[in-house]
Amino acid sequence: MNDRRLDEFEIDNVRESGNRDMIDGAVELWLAERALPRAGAERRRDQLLLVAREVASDRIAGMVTTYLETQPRLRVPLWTMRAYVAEDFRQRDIGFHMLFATLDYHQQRFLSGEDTSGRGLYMEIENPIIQRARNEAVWQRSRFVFIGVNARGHHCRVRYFDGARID
Amino acid sequence: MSTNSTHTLQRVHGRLDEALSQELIEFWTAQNAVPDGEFDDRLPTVLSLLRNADGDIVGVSSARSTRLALFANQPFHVFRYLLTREAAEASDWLALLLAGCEILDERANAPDHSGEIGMLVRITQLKLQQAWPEAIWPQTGLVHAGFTEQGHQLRVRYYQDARIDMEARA
Repeated sequence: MNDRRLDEFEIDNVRESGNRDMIDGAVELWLAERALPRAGAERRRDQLLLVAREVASDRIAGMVTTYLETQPRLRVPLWTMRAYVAEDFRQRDIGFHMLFATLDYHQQRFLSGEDTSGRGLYMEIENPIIQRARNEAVWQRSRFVFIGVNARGHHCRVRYFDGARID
Repeated sequence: MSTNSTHTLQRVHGRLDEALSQELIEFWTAQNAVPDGEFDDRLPTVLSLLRNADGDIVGVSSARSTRLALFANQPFHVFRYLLTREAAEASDWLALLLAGCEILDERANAPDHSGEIGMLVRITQLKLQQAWPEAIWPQTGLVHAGFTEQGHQLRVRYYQDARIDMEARA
């Protein structure tokens, strides 16, 4: 699914590993770059799924959170995904790799029956630069589909897991 | 093309002559489905129809072009259908839908394509939602995109290489 290499970075699934240093580092990154206030960063601590680290410098480069949510319009439980890439590490494919790692993790758990609570991934794209740069109605590789905009004009995309159903 | 029932599908988009147009107008009138004065607007949007063993029209599909705020004012074809009670089987509806997808895909690839990026389908009947609960319908690729305020399921599929036009949001 993802054949692009990311040699300089290591992506840790902190939900599985429980790696305290990576989790604390992610929270500190949010604060250092003023991406979130302290209370917000602490709330998202438990939602952290992936943390990417530059191997050479041991610096945190980005992270992904996911949490289960049912969008009122969709009426189906989905994993809402948020990604953040540190300012110094943008344009280096980290977000791309974390997207696929997130998809692989949740879809495999869904297909194996280990966790079928979410039927897919959901994301809202706030950044207009990304909205423009990635304006394909269906992202070819990850198959995220544009399903409209929210009240704030953010692009909403969904990727249902293979075999997912709407009850 | 035949459906699973005794009904026969007929692709009519771009092939409407006067006799067929009159037949459709009589069908809509009998079904109380299209108001007087809207026939001329509706006829060019017709995609296909279903006939019973006697040759009578028992179903018709059409697609109009529209922009929805929910979809960032992007241009879409909205697929519509009308079935009589006689043609109320899910297979009849699916036959109209599959033909509609084919016709609209062909239109999207035509040189005079009017710019729609995809197709929206509003599923008003609960039994159709229940007949195909897959998030992505395998026959058509239609993706679950939510529910309308009226509780109708909304599904979307995009034409090849469709892109979101950011300027359309203004």
